[in-house]
Amino acid sequence: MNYSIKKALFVWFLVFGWFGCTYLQAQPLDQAQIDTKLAAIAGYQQGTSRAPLIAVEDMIRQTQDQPEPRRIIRAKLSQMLDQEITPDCRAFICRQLWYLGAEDALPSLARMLQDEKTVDIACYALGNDPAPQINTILRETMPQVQGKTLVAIVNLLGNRRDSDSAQAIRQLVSHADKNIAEAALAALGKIGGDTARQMLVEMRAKGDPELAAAATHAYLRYAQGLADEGQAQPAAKIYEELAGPGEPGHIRGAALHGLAGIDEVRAVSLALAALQEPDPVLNRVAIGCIRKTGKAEVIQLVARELPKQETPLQVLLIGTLADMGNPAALPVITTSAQSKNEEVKIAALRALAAVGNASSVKLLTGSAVGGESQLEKDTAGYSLKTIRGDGVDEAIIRQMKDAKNENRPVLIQILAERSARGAVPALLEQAALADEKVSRSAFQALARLAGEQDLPAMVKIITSLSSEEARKDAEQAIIQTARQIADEQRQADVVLTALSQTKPVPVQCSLLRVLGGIANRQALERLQTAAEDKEPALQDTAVRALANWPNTQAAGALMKIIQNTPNETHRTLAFRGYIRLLSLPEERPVEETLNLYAQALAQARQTSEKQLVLSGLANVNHPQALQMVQSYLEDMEVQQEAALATLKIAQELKAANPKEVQAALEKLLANTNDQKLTQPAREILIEVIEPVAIFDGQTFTGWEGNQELFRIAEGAIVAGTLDKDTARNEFLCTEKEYADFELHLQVRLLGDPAHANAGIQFRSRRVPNNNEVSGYQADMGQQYWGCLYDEARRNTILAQADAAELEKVLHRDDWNDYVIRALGSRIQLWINGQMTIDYTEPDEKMEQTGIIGLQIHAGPPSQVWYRNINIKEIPKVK
Amino acid sequence: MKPTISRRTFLKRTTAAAVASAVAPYFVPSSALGKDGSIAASRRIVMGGIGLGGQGTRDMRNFMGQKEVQFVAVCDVMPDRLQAAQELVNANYGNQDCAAYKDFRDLLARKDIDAVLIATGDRWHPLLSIEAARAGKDVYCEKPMSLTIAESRAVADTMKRYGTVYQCGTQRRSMESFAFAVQLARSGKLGKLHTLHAYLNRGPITENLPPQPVPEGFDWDMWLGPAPYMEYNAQITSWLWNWNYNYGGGAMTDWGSHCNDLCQWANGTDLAGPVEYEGWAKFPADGFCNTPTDFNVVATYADGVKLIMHDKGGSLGVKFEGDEGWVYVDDNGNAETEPKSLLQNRKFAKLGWTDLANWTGHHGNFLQCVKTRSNPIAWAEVAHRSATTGHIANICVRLSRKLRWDVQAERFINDEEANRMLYRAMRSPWQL
Repeated sequence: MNYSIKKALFVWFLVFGWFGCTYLQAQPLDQAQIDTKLAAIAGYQQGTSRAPLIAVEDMIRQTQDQPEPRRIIRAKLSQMLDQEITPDCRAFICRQLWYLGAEDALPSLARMLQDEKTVDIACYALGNDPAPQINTILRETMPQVQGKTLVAIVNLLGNRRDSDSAQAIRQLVSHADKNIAEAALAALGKIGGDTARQMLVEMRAKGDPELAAAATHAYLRYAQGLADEGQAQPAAKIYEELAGPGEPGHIRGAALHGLAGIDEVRAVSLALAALQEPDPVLNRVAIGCIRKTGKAEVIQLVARELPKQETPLQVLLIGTLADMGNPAALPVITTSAQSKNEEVKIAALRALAAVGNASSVKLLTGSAVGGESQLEKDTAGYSLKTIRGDGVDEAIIRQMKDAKNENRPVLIQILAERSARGAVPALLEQAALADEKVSRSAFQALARLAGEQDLPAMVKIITSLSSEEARKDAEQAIIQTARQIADEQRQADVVLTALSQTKPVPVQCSLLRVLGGIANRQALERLQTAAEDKEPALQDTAVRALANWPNTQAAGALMKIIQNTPNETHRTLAFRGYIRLLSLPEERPVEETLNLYAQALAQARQTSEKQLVLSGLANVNHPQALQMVQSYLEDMEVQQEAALATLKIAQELKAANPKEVQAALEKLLANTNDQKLTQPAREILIEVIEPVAIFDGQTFTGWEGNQELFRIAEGAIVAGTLDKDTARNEFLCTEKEYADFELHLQVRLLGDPAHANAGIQFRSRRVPNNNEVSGYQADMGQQYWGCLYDEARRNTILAQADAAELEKVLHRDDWNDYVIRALGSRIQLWINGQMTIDYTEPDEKMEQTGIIGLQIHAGPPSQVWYRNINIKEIPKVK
Repeated sequence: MKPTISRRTFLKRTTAAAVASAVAPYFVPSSALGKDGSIAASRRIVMGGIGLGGQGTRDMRNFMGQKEVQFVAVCDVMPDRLQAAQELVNANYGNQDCAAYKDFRDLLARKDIDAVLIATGDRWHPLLSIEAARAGKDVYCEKPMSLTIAESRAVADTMKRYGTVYQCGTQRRSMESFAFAVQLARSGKLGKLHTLHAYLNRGPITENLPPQPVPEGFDWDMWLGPAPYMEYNAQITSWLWNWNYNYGGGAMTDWGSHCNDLCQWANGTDLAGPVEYEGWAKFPADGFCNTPTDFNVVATYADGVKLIMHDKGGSLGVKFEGDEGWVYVDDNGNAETEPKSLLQNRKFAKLGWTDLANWTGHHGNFLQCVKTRSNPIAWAEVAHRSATTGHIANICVRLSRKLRWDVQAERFINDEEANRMLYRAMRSPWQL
């Protein structure tokens, strides 16, 4: 679905979604409706239905655009607070007034503020309502309450930042109830102003440690308020005070953070000093303070102090400088990267990834190749890969060239990972060196970095390489590079020219392998020639390259090899390659594919070759492929593959080519008894067979049984009456036996649903000298509809239908389609298109053939109708 | 709205800050490691946990699985959970040293604890985060950050004031699959983004819950804490609290905490947010739960990009659409892209942590930041902005109208009813 359709659907959905609301909005609420809905909530208690509350919420939502009804609802909700309502209803109303506005309810809420039981929910209703008289009410309530009630009011005044209440609240800071005193201090911190400051300073100085701590937190809050208002100097003064040695570590740290927002340099110098103190909480918050600053002066300050710190702090500070990403930190980090202390050194090497530049490369390459530990090498390598800036690649190239041979591969790999295309000339030089390790790593890098213009140079080098291993890497590099050429026809040109001028056989083999990797038309032609070369090594290389060809273009060449080569290995390679190519996804007429397979079949000599072709053909969905594979069903050596291919193609073609599928599967059944093949064959076959009527609608031709009880009416077979009991089970049976089949018929069962019963026997036989028939029964009636019953034999329900699912499709008093499928040991039943049973008979002794019989069950008056009886039968084999 | 700085500068600044916040520190100081890779006890991060139900226990296991952590204390108001948590810690260390507290104030009073895990229900998150910061502890707090916008704003301000390292438990930020999708969006490979989809869960419908006797030893008043009073019923405490506005925010803040956050991150606006919200919701017709069962909210950023919150259910996730392609990622790590070739970028998805060797997930990122003091990947300011999107979506559907939001003043424009919903008074004696 594209976006515009989705958008259209979504808009439609929105409109539809709103429709529910607008529909109701179209009918304005009247007072009576409002009253009825509100009256219904007065007695609400938790645990009873919330529907009345929801009705009120919905009503409020519906009045979005109707100011008058909304005003009325708010006023009436407010009035209810003075009426006889449950506490749960009261809480609900307050939660509505919370957003509707509390102004109509102020007198009631004022009363609720005085009661410990209702103060919280009253504060909830008042919450963020900006009406100024609310502060007055809260203030006036203060003297009348105490304990938790007073705490609630002080908290709310603090959150409302009511400066007029500062005087009243300051009276509470020494309250005997500590909860009240602490609430008052916190509120003063939020409210701010001179009164607050005086009280906070005073309380911090007083003896009680808990209150002093609360006052200190409030004081920090107060300083924050000053800073936010732009009063930097008074705020800085408080922070300096709180950052002093008399305070606990986390308060000092917080003060440093506050100060950093005003004066970074001062804060960082204090923080650096704090790092010397034996207080881990202070230390860690001080580091955070430094990290949040960024001025160059700060960097200088930290850089100066860095060497004086203990190792763990140096490490942390180096990381901090790295994360700050300021180039001013480079000198101190460079110095640290040469430290004798390994931890400091590693941290600084890593930090160079962030703050380093081209001037750091020499130091880093030194560590990357000559580091004292693997960790040092890896860290420096990581930084070399990551470091940014002008001239870095060039600096690494210079270092690489100057390095000893043994150290170059590391640096070459780093250049590759940096995607340093400027390194290609230098890499070509290295690639040509006799040192195998250097040469290989250079080619590996060239595979990622080289461009089309570098091909001649690379090909030239490969012709002069003596190391087999290096040539392998060179081949890959040339293939990768050649395939970048936009004009596919020209990708092999350089290599072809080189090949024509090269003598040594190993080098020619290399170039032939390269052609196989390029795999264009020109390469193909050259390899076809080489496949006939007198030189065995060249021939072998070419055959292998053709056998691994990535598209079908090589099919002809491979067929030629199959037909002509005296070399059995080459023949096998070519055969496998040929079949693999045919299975590749390709736009090719199916007739051509069939023709290619036919050629292969004609050439297939060994069993394994035939098997290969048959398994390939299994993927060709065409009647001719079906024809080809079934002709091998009688060939015992490849019967299994032929049968599997037949099944696979038949499954695909069954809808379009039923006749051909039927013939092929019947042939399969005639040639094998392997259950794993015959069962799926039957399951496909049954779908393509044409049904045949076994009841003509007028006579009992082909049927036998009690023709007084069974009769023909309205083109159906009928048994039983609705006014008389049926004395005993009776059956009307086919004269013919059926083994594997699918039976379709329509059935209708009339009479008391609690008693009426019937069913269809299959794979059954009459019990001699008796009215009963024994065998499988597809059941009908009562709770047995759609079940599989074993009649007069094991006398048990073999498989039970899902009653709930069946009930959705079953017509108890009307016609139903019944389908019975019996194939091998598997039995399935459908009623009105819904499968009710999928049963596999575990007992091999049970008959898999027999008559079909229509039953009327003994019992109270009932009548059963059967019509349109058709069968698809799989003919008996042998 | 009349911003004091131009929107462009603002976005530039927020994006730069967001990127900075996403970059993890360069290393864990190796000095914290002993010779054999074990950590000296004195250098471990000492932790305590508050609220240890299902998610809390998972978080605690994750922390205990990291060798630099020493868990020493647990706290819960439910006696059985408290005991189970204590036993889990003791079994992990093979000793009997874990302390168990019923009152969080006793745990926070311990001087040896460096950081706390907070995994109570939503109602306690802001208050406990703030109390922990005031006690000098760093904070890993489960999502959602709060019940209201005012609360999460207060948390972010407090974390800043105390220099506290705070990580919000929106751990999908640290999952490779989601980071991959975010990186595709941020790298411009999808072209100009126009629509961000957050596929959220759906609210349940349950029966009404009558009062029941409070189980022996269970401090129900403390469980409720700052949230409105209701009588005890066992089902409220199991998981249903999330679906009643007294105690939770429903899907908008449950999965919204993750998906909206990822959308914000992908859009480079995780320090800002949409400016307009419009949508609808269907609420249960009866029962304890009163958060939406079905909903669709479209939030629009100032530049027209849309964040759409869908009531998907099933496997949840996000989809980012740009004018040159899209990416969809679900919670099972499955990713789909258009064009399909974008999937090839997946193995390089490491946004937010440049060095995978040092990346130990969301919890590890927190621990690393505890040491280096940098901002974790879901630090308080971005967590607050993400929480805000969910809270506004709730306000939008509860009021059933379009809302306009002033991103800088953090207030609704011309809507006093909506502005009253920014804040809720807490039950006494609790306050922020």
